[in-house]
Amino acid sequence: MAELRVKGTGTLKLFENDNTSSVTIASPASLSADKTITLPDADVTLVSGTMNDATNLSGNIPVGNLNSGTSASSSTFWRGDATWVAVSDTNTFTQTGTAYFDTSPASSTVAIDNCFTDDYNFYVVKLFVLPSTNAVGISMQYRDTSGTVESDTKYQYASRFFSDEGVAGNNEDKDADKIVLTNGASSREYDGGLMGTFTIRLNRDLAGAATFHQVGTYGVQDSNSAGNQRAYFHSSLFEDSNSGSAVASGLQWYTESGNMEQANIKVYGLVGSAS
Amino acid sequence: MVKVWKIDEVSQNKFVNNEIIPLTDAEKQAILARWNSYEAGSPTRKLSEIRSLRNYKLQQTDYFSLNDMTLTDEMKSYRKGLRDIPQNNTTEEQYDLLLARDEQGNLTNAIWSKP
Repeated sequence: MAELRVKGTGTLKLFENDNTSSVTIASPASLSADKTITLPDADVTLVSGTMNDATNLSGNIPVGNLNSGTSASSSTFWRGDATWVAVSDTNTFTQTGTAYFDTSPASSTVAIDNCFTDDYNFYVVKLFVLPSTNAVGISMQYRDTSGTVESDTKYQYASRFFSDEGVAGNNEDKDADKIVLTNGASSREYDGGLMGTFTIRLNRDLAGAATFHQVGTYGVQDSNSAGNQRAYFHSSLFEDSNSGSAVASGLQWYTESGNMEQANIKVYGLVGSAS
Repeated sequence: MVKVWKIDEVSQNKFVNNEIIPLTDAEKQAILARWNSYEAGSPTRKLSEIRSLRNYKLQQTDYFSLNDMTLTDEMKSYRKGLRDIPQNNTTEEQYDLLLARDEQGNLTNAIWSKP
């Protein structure tokens, strides 16, 4: 095998005055596989040219090599203008609770504990629940930090609905032990269950007493057999006078009669809403 | 006929924080009591729905009572029938007949048919 060796320091130049020629390290076609050029552990400067076989490039560029790593941290990212910038989560939502089930066994209740904290004042709840029994009511209650249901007379609510045949109606109560969202929802999955969105404002003082104000819109088909669509506009209050450690911090939903077949509930806190 | 739930119809579980948790006997008994209490209120809810329907149907024909409109005997009879629904229907079976619908969701009781 032929071998070309340069001993000593200096620069090896090929075709110094000819910019039309290429340097090719060739291998017999029978060897097929790509060959490797191993460079010494030293700086390599690409004066010009394009790396056009990106699939063979791998590894990471050290953070310190990107703008010297200035401002690089776990909360910054490398942006297109070649600077490290902080991730901005202002006015975004962070998920604080979730519940999802769509398979047997059916459940009596679906609950999410500790999804309300002092980190946020505004929350959004996306709600879907499906009863196992046709045309039954669906209600909502708060739970404290230990999972105990808040069933005292601390709720007041008003819902106005109208149906696809023009009939309007109300659900309302004062000093109630729960919030009744609807008095009837179809149990067929493709009728939609009860689906809607609530905005909740949590206003808690230093002693732990709080008011939860819910405003929401939601809809149901009120029965399986030739039921009607009902559109609801809802407002409610829950006053938590608990000054102990077990303050209201979660929610539960349940059917007034019969089990619950499915649920998909997400709770989000609005970043920056506590101040 | 008011439905009466039995204890073995209550789910064995509750779903808390994305976990299935078995219910205690006391919890199942409390749920059973709640369900049956709700079912006991079924006639009241049906009557409330009938009142909403009745009021809506009356509103639809209120304009016939204006001075420059002629209220026919058929319309008088129709509106009187609507107003008398609560006093003429007092049982849940009668409520069910009033709320009966066909496959298209239309009320089938003749009392709702506007002349």
